Amino acid sequence: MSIPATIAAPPPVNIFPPENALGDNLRLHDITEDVIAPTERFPNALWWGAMLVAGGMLGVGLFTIYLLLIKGQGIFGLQVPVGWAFDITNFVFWVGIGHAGTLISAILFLLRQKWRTAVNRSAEAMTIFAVMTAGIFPLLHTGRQWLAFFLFPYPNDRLLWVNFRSPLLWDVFAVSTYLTISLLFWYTGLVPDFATIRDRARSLFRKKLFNALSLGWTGSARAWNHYEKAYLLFAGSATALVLSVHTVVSYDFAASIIPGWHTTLFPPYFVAGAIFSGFAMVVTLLVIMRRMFRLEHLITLRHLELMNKIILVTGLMVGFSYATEFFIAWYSENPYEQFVFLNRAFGPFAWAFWIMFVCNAVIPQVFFFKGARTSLPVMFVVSLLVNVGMWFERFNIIVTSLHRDFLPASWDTFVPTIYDFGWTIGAFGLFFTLFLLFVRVFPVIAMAEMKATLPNPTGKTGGSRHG
Amino acid sequence: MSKPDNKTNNLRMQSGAASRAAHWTTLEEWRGDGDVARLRGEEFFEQPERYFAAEEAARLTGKRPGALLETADFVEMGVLNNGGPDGGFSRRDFLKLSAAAMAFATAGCALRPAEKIIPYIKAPEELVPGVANYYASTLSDAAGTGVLIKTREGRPIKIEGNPDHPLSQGKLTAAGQLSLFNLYDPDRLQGPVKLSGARSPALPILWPTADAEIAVALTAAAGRAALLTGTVHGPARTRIIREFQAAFPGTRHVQTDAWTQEATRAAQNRCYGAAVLPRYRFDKAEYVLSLGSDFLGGGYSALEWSVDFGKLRKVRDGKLSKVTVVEPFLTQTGANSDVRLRVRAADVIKVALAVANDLIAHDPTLKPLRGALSQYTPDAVERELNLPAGSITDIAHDLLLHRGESLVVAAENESLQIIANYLNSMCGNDGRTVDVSAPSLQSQGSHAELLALIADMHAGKIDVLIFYGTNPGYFLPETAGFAAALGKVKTVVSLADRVDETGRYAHYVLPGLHWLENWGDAQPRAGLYSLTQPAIYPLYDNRAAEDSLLAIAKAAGAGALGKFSGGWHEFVKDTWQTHVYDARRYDAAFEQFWNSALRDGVLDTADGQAAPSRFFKMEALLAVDVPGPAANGLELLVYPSPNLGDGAHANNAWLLECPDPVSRITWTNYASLSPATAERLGLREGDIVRLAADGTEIEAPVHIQPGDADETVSLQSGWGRTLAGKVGSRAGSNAFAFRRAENNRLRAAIACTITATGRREKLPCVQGHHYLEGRPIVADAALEDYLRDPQAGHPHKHAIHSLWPEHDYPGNRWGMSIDLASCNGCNACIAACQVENNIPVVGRDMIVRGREMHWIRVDRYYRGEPENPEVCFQPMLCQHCENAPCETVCPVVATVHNEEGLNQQIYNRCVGTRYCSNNCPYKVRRFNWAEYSFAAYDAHPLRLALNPDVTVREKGVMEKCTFCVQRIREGKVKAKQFGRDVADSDIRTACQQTCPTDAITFGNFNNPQSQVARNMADERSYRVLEELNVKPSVVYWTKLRNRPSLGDGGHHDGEGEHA
Repeated sequence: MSIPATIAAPPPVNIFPPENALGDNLRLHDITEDVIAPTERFPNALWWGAMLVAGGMLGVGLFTIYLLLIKGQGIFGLQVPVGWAFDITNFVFWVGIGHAGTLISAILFLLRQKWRTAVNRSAEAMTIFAVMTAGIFPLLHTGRQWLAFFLFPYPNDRLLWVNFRSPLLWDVFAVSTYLTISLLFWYTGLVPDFATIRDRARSLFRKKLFNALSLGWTGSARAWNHYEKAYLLFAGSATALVLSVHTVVSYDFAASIIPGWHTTLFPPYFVAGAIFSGFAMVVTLLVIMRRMFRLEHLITLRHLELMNKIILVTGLMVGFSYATEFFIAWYSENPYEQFVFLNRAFGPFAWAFWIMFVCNAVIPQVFFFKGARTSLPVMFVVSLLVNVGMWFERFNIIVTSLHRDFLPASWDTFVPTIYDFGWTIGAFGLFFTLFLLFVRVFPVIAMAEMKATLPNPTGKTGGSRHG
Repeated sequence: MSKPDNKTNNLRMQSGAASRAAHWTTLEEWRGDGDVARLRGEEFFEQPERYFAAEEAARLTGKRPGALLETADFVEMGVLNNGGPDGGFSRRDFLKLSAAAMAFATAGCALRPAEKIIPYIKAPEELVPGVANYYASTLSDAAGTGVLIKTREGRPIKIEGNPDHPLSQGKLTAAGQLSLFNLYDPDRLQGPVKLSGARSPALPILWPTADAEIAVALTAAAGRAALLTGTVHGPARTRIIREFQAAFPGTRHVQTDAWTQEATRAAQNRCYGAAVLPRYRFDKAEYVLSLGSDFLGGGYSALEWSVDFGKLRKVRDGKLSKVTVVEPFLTQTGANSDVRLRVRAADVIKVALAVANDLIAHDPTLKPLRGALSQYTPDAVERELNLPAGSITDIAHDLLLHRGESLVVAAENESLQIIANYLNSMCGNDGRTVDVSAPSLQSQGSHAELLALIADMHAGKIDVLIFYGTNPGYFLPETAGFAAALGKVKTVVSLADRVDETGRYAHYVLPGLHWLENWGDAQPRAGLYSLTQPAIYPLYDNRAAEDSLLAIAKAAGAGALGKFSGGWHEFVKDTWQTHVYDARRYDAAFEQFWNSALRDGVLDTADGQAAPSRFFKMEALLAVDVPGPAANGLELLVYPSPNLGDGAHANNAWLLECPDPVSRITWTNYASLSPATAERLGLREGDIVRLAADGTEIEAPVHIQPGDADETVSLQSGWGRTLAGKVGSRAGSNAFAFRRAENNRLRAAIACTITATGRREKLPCVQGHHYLEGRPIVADAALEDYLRDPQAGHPHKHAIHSLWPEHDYPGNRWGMSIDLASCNGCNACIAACQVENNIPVVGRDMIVRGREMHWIRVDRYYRGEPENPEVCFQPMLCQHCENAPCETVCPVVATVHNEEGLNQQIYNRCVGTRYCSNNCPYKVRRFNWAEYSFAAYDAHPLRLALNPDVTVREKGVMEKCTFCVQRIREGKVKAKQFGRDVADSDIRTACQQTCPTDAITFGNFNNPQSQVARNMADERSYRVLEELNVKPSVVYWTKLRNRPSLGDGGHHDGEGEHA
């Protein structure tokens, strides 16, 4: 085998306890075998069942989009004043989900957190799929979707240009940059693993396919050297993006003048919230995936516990932000601002507020207990609830701020239609369909990286330990 | 490669000059001037390659290029034709041809309907394409409002008030303006039909056949015939009925309307000995007391009164008129009152008597009367009706204070009218504000005569009944037996424009014309003549109702009418000659007189001298019938709709979507209850209830109306038609069903019960919330506070600094000021804006979902206790902010600021992100959630109503008020033609033009002389949400109330319960 057993790595910087997450008896070959094998066999019933559900949800979404294009935005429960509701809620929600991947890949890589190797591949995939899903909403939320290309500053003989003062345009750049970098980063990491698959491939088609995908990877020291440098550079640039994307998304609201939107707190609040929801989604997916593909020994409870700690920390930040918003509203003595927050907590959408508050600020507190952090059922439920809460956080920000703004005469309420739910379901369908295809075709664990972190890769006692 | 030699052209031109070109455009060209040829060569450089090729050939052959170009050997050389010496296709030609083939083939694939453009064979002199023509005419309603019809390329597209007409004074109500859509109503009949019986299919019939058959029937009836019409006035329209009666002797003429003024006329008769409708001079009334009369919203001359009333609702040298309203439910008039007393319907009369009692207390000569009124002391009545102490003596005080310049108007109730007459006489108003020198003829309908006619029909005394302009089948309750009575009439002829609730019992429906297609006249008050002229050729094979009368008389060969030569047009002209022109001395010939009358649309022959005050017969007052103590339990009041009138406009979607001035509810009527009564009954807003009275039951949604008297249910009529058309049928429920024929009149107020059905619906209200929540959005102040401090009531102001450079407005800068004290919430601006700007209706479901499209809306807020709140109206439209929040957030620059301060929306660029709307603090932007325009104007011929100057917006596009940019352009062009700056009179926005109270002023506020600049500089002006520093171009003037200061300063809120 041409898989190099050594990757020169700097000494570990551990902010987490030093013990390794992987067991001592894992061998190099075990990893290759365990990770690639699921992609080589006919998928199991669990996968097919999941695919059926996800595909059905996607179908619901596609039908909604068809109706949307034919009939216009009127199929949703929107009106003036509530010009945005599920569309932008879903957009922000999915962009938020897309944060964990880059954070795990980039920031944890730079911090040399070895435990990330178990989860980074699927987290990155999740990021890309989440950002793709998110991208559908701003595109389709427009009134004339066939003219959405107007949002791009392309040269044209009518000398039309975009408005660089508009936060929506900043979004276009922030999200497309994020998607591009994430995609390249992910692909770069996949190259050595594609080569491994190629080397194992029996069929000619598979061999050719993965040969092309691996870009002719030979595993030479030179190649590894370039790879490492590229990976490091991507990690560096992606790190900035983790902070910038959701900061820019928050400007959609912060740069407006609507009470409840117009606040300087939003950038950090949104970034914390995004990481919070992203990690929750990773936990949800990993709990299912490790079971589905029997990867319990590679994605260990220890990995999951570390992620739950991040959920706890970011959850505290989010909870603190909620408190800050209320404090500032009170402190500002701005009657419009004060009204918005009272209306959020006690108005017609109070139920949404309290769902958000309980799910995001109260429930994650159970992770203070190690027992809860390491319990699969608990973390699964908590991670799901966190995402429910985070969805409602965006719903709260968007809908409750809009539905009662300055002039009472124009107040109204928002009642979603089945189509609002239709494309929300469709978004989940798209995301899970893509994710299921990914786990079926691609190595779900960064094998090359994980091998480098094995405590005893060759199984020899007293052998050299790399990492 | 050098440019082609000019000589090339010179050469050709010289040869052309030699033979003296057959066609030329200038003398120089004819002479063959070299400069012309050179210029032409530069101007139209048609075939560069040809010249280049010639040059190349010249280089190769050494010959002059000009010579080569003309010679055949050049082609043979194959230089030009680079396809080769065989003369085949060149590569270039091949590509050209294949591109063309592809383009044509692609274009040919689309199947486009053939559209024919028919040019005028002989262009009308007065018609310039793209320039609107205005014609003076008169609305067909009983009020006889004079209007101007704006036509474009032969289509009426807008109706505005006629500035020369004393009733409209250039203004028009929402209903008047939107009646344009009645012309284009797709549900009108398109030709005469015959029905063999009620609910039988309508079969087409030829006009001559129908005329002959009816003529035979009429002749056979030998006087056992009747004409049933609405109020008819105007010399020609009344004359044709007289002549018809003369042609068929014995024919009765009965005028009847859904709402009549019989009580008013009767009271006038009893008090003064003449049954007239006086002309109320609101323009002279400094103090108005309304005893249950909604003169702004529901009067028979509401527009005239609104305009006149509005004139005194402006501060003039510290004076402002005052109005006190005593009423059982909140009306538009009550909403505009300074003092409002909320009493049950039956108790209004007690207040009136107490006022009279208080007035006569000072007059020793009125002793007998005092005895009769002794039990109605102000104190006792105030206590009994739970009114604030002193409220009745205040009224008496105000009446005394404004002797001769006050006016008491009352609801349509004989007793109340008598007391109002007494109060008017007592205060010296008769002959001043109550003027009978030129009495109103606007309401002559009678229910008594109608009921008598029905009795005769039952008795079989009527064989032929012809009716038009009225729809008793709709406004009479079933118990009146009208349908059965019609069954006994051998021949029933309807001249209405559709098979309506009455017409379905007819044997012939000979559809009449819309007034925009028709001739006619009106005489709304004695001496005031008004002409109706057609602005469009009849859209269908229909005929004027009067023409039908003429045709029937001719078919029967009966009387003078049967021998009249000519049609209705000639008849009108003839009448004006014999009855108007000949009756007076005019210097001009009749043709000149006629043309000038047509041009002006109106002729006022009244001398303007008010009649002397009349003697009041005291016995009328002593005989006033005072009801006993109000019955316990719910009382139902039916009142007319300001928009739908008597139901005639019920198939007009634009009017159905025009909000009620008070409740802001569209598309339906509702049972209106006071908050306390609703609470007692356990009903919530939108609960569908079953109203039952006298065995009649209808279902209606509940609306909880602050300001309504307790235990009173009010229900708007005009709704619930069954045969109005596609949109009007079954919109709301028919309140007329509760009327009862009793003592030869129709009784309306009756005891009723309410039962909840358990169903509930969201009411289609265009306003989301009705209280100000303590927000300083509507500034209001008592008059005396304002006089002390012009900024009284204003929101707290801070100095605001901007970080950004200000915009530069070198030329004009458009702005608007709105006087909240003048605005009476009538919706005329909404209607004007809709018609002007092609704003589609969206339908009830969309309104329920909050998607109204009105560019201008009138926000109505309540202040104070929900039992009897103060009401303020605030027109809200795009504020054209200088720092517009919408402009910065649009990612595609679809909304931009122009150098004249307009915030412009570019529909072609808009992708519909709706961010602009979200970021608009006034929420005045409107989004096309679906294909509204196509849907609204889809049914033929509705799209003929579209204003060609304004783009129709498609699905997915944001739109909003443009300050009528098309009118701004028009005004600027006009000013430029005269070489001067734009003046105030050049540009009037649609809302401003029609506002009955002149609350809206528009203009260039860069010009300090303009009215708007002066209004903005006035200390009374403030901007809504000024603290946001968006710098609106619209300022508001404080709402003023002529009532004592409450000493609450500027920051008062007056919170009510959240509705």
